[in-house]
Amino acid sequence: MASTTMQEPTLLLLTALADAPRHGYALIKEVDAISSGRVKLRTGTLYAALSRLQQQGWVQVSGEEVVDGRHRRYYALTGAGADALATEAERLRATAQEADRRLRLRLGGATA
Amino acid sequence: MTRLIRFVVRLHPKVDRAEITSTLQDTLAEQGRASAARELADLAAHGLRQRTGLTAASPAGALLASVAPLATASAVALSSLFLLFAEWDWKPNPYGRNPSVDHLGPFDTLGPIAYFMWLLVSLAALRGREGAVRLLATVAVVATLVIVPLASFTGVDRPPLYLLSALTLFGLIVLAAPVDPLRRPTRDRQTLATGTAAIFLILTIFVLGYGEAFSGAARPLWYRDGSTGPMGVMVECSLVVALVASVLSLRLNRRLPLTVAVVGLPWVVFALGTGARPGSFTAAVLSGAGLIALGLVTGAITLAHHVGRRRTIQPNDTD
Repeated sequence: MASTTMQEPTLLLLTALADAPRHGYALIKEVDAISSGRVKLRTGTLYAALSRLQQQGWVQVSGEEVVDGRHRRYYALTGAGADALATEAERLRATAQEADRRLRLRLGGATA
Repeated sequence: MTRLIRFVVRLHPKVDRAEITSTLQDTLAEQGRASAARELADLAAHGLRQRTGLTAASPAGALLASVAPLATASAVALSSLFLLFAEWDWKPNPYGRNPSVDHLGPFDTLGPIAYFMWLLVSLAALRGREGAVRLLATVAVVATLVIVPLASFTGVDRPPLYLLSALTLFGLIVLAAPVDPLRRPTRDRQTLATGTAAIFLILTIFVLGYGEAFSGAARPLWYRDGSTGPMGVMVECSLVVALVASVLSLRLNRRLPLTVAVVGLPWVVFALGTGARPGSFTAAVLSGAGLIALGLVTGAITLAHHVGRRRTIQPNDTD
């Protein structure tokens, strides 16, 4: 269970790992795509975050291989990491739903 | 460029170098020179943190991360205090300005160069701009160090070394602290705002209220006439009280005594530099309280270590 609140790049990183293990460069591209180009992870920031997430037990190395002369190390979400992401997603969903509900009330009030 | 990349990658543990090189090669292939330089600087900083053990995942890094808001608050409070009270006359000065030295505009010394940088650091920190905080803190540290040679070069006076040393140490703590990706900066901003206000208020009350410091003088605080001495004694007493209080509240926050000890180091440099000369009774009380605090800290750390080890061992015992 998540005991800490995470910063946006961390949430994006866990989201990028939610469906499949990915290597470092793929994670940078995924985070860029998920955030519509808003968050661009630098290499140092990426590995610092991965190191912290590994220490927290949310991410683990799932394998290594060499593809086209590039050494790739794959990172995967652990069970605890998936729980933490689910908790954060639920929190965001609840906030978004409440925002929608209040906006509908506002629109209803304006048209009445 | 290739040699630079090799050097930066070599800062990282051997086991990670191949993967990091691959990622870096792909990333740099899409970037211009300026962007590539920022990328390499970021990676070099991460490598240096790995080498020194100051990562967000390490105990030392976590400790510095908790100290950093207090260090920023201390530097900002000190900068504000000396900028407001020691740089210009609040009342007409019958002797006028010292004609034998140059001045920095309305200011007496080159100190405001560093002070204003720290005010910018606090603004960036309060807005949650971590990148800007790092950049401005670097500039503040460099500016503080440059003031010394600049003073002899320009003939404009500088603040005393004890103040510049304390500001430099606070800056180094801020720069050494890693950013924890699992921690929202909101709490740090609250600590910074509260810490700055509290430290500034206490020092201001002391400066304005202490004896005759302001009754017959042109300004509340002077750098070199001994009026900072009593402030030094007050800082020393406050540190001992803070250390004892942190040990007593160890159950709430186990890291607090070490946090106080680390942030207290630049304050001790400042206090000693002011020429603080506590009376024999105060000195005896300070020494006694200091020794008790030291004993409590050592005992608490030993106990926490012992409890931590027992907790680690327990699951195996039940197998």
